[in-house]
Formats: sequence, structure tokens, C-alpha cells
Amino acid sequence: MNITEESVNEVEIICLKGRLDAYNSNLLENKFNELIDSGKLNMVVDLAGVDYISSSGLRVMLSSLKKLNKLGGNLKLSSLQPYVQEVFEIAGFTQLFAIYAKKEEAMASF
Amino acid sequence: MSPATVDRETLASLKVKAELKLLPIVLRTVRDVASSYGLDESSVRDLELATEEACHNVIEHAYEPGEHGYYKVKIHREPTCFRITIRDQGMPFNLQRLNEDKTSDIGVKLMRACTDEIKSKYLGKKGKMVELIKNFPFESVNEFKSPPVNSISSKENLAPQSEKIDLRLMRPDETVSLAKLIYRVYGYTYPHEEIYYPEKFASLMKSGLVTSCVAVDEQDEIVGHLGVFLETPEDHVGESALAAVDPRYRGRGLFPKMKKMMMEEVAAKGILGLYSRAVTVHVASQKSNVKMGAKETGFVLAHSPPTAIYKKMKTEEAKIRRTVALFYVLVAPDQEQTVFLPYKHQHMLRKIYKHTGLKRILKIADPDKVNLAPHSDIYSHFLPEMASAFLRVNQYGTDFMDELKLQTKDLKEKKVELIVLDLPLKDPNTAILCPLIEKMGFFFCGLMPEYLDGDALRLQYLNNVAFDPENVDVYSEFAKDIFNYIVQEWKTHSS
Repeated sequence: MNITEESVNEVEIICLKGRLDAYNSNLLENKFNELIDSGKLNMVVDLAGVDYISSSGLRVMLSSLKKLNKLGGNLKLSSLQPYVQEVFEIAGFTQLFAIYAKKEEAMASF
Repeated sequence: MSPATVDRETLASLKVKAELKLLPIVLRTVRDVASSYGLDESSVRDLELATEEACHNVIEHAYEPGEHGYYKVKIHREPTCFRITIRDQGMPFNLQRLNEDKTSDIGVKLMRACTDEIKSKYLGKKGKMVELIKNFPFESVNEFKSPPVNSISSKENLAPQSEKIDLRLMRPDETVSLAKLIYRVYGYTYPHEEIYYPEKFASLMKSGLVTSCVAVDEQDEIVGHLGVFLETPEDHVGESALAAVDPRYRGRGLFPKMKKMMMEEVAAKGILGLYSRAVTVHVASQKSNVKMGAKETGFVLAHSPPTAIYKKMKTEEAKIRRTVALFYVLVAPDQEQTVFLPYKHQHMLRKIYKHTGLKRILKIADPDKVNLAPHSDIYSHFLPEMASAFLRVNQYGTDFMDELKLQTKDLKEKKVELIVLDLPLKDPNTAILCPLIEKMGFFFCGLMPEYLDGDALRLQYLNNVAFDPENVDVYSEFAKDIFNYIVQEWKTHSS
């Protein structure tokens, strides 16, 4: 999995490419922890490049959302592919996350 | 029947160290194998995700840190589905949670959503196993563009007697026409759901598990059908089922002609006999079975919901389950064999054997000579649409009663209403263990000749199902005798 990030108007935009599965979800977890430790509290995760996500990927997203909420921040999602959207729905996660069609919309919502 | 004709095979088998870094190899294999065998992309992803969740569970929880544990993954292809088995010999954990109604475990939610069925089993010292089953996405007949014509029932629509009707074996490319015939005759009320999925039915035909004969008119249109179904490729007996005659062609004796043809056809393939399940909402089917020389061997009380696929489609309200009468007819010369009769049911079984005319040496088992294998082998076929499960005991092991209790508990948690249990009568353990099994609530419901590499004693279990003997129409005097005996057994064991 490939992770890139940029900072726009105090919002961290994390673009993911590849699979978010049990094997590599810890890479994303490390990235979240690194950003939180450096004081970044508002994040957008753009999932346009993700075509597969399992419960491990979902758990990392959820634990980071909870951590950010406690610190007064937020984690929003954008550009979910249909299969990934379906996995979020099955897990009941569409009610927990703010989800946007495009990352620009997610950024503008902060 | 040659097993070689049956399309059921293991496509891949892996033994993998329970480490996260090897998981992508397993998932890649599942993806590549399923794709290579024609599964569509969405189903491949489902299978991959369900496999990841099951394997990750093993990697995370089955072994202690530093322990060098392994797990095995097998990918099987069957006529109507892919089946992935994951086995490990690590720490036992609660497999029940895979089937709990409400789960908060995201992994379990995903596994369930991505598969058509999940089975889990403890294997004693051999560890535990999870099976993930993904059906091929067949197209139902009601999704075809030209809808089937409405039911034809009036006598004035009878076809002219001069019209010539031929009988021949059915071809797999004719399953859409057959589905339409069945729809005209039964609507969506026929309990073999496969028939409404033409490609699935064609796949069963190609696999050798179904052989059919059809009656065709002068335009080669199907106007009658009779099939023979095998439950497994190794079976010695088949079920005569899916009898349907277009109402315009009734009164020509097409059913007995088709049955005679099928008896000859399957006998040539090595099948010894045919059994059938006749409805009891009227006596017509039972009467025609008797006419064809078939003999009554039992009943399954509350066998089928009046709405099976129909329930899913919500076209009919759920009503009480219907009882069926069991019939058996020989198609090849009978072979003498020894059977051990449970003491309690010996009189009824002797009567049934006498009625069928089968050559058997009847013995009573010595209760002191219990001889059990290390492990039991119980084959289970779960039919969610029928809320039913059919279990066959192939081997009694020292863990038999525990295993049966566990499987019964699992099935009850899956809201199964009926469990049918077939036990081998050539094995004296059947006669010895029968009273213990009956203590669990199973009760006698008949004899299934040659059903399990030899005759089977059939027991059944009803899980909180309403049953009223008054709603059952029984044709012959002999059948009434068996029916009354079974009702008495039901009363004894359901109270």
C-alpha cells in the first residue's frame, strides 16, 4: 500500500493506494499515530485508490477517529469505491464517519 | 454411478505458517484460483475477504506468541459453489459466535455478508475447521426477459390426442424451458429450489447429480419432466423428483412412462433403487407411486414449508409445514444384506421390510459390543430456504454423541425447523445408540433402503414446529399403520 500526504489549510489529506488489509493496515496506523503525535488533528482520508478493505483496515480507521475526537479533531473520508462503500455499510461504519464524494468537499467541511 | 462423472474437486491446498506476512500469499491464491475457474470479480472479492477474516482469526488467536503453529487452507469447487476450508490445531475458541444472531464483531459480520453459508466444526484432537461457501451467482428464472405464461388449468385447453409425444433424456441446454414448465405447473411452490435457477440446474446435470427425462411435443417443446437426484456422487439410490406434466397433456399416462424410462436409465448406471417423497395434502401422488410398484417406507412429519423460495419472495404467507410419505422402488436385482434392528423399533422395521420384499438378514445388536472409531463422520446438508438439515452418519466415533449434540445445537441456532438423521443399519452401533439419540428429541420416521451404502434408519427432529396429524392424507392401509406409529413416536419424544 502506498500512502501520500499533504497539508492544506491545517487539514491533513492522506491519499491511500492499494489494499487495506490485515497485512498492511499497521502502516496506516503508524501514519495516523505519527500525524497525531505531531499535533495534526483534522484529517481527510481519500480512498479513491483503495479497492479492498477488510476488518483490520476498518478497525484502524475507527480507532484513529476515536482518538482524534477525544482530542477535539476529526477524520473524514472521501472517494470510496463501490466495493469499499459496501464494506463500510455492512460494518455499520457509514453512520460513524462523515463520507464525501470528493476530497475537496471533505476538506471544505472543516 | 461413476464418481469420475461428478464435477467436484479440490483445486488447491496450502499449509501455511500462522504468520501475518504469509497471509497475502493465501489471499492471492484464493483470488487467482477462483478467478481462473470463472467466478465473477465481485464474488472473488467476497471470497477473498471472508478468507482473510477467517485466516486472520487463526493467526491472531489460535497460537501463543512464539509458538510455531500452522493452518491449512483448501479451495474446492463443486457444481454449484466454491468451498474454502480453513483448519488449524491451535487453541480452541468459541466457534458459536460465527452463527450468533446479533454480532458486534466486524470480522464476523463481513464473513457472513460475503458468503452464502459458514460452517464451523471442532475436530477433537485434530483442531477446528471453518468452511466458507460461496454459491455461483446463477440467474433465477423470474429474471429472464420473457416471463413464463400464467398457469394453465382448464380442461378445454387440452391438446389434441392425435399430437405425438416423445420421451427422451433431457439436455443441459433445456433448463430454461424446464423451469418454465415447472412454473406453469407449480408456480413458485416446488421445494427443489435449484429448478428455478436454470444454470444451477444445468450444472447439476453436467455433474451427474441429476439425470432427467422429458416428454416433448411435435415442436420439441417440453411438456413433461421427471428427474432423478443423487445427494452425493457415491449414492446407490436416487430420488425420483420434479415430476411435472403440462396440464394440456394430462390423462395420457406420461408420468408412468417417464418413470419406467428413468428406472431403466438409472439401473444401467448402477443405481439400485429410487425413493420418492410424496405430498400428503392429497393422496394422488401416493396413489400413483403405489401403482408404479413403489412401497411405503415411512413419513417425514412437517417436512417442507409450503413456501420455500416463495418465502424469500414473500409471495405467500408462512403456513404449517407439510408432511411427505416416503416410497422406495427397486430398479435392479436386490442384494441380500445383514441389518441390526434397534430393539424398540424392530416390529415396525420387520413389517416395513416384509412390505418392501427386500432380502435382509435381520439381527438384534449385542449392547455389550460397542465398537467405535476414534472420530465420527457425520455429513451435513443444510438447506436454509427449507429451514431444514439432512445429516448422514457415515461412521460412529467415540465423540459421536457430543458431535451430534453440537451439530444439533448449531442447527437450532440457525433456526432450522427440521433435522433429518439417517443412520446405517448395517452398523450395530445404530441399534445400540438409537435410544440415546432419541433422548435428544429425535424420533423414528422410517426406513431408507440402500441410502447409506446399505439401508438407513431415518430419525427426525422438530425444532418447535407445529404439527397436526389431522392435516395429513394417507392413501394405503399399510401407510396408515406406519403413520400412526410415527405419530405415536412424535408424541412420546416431543412432550
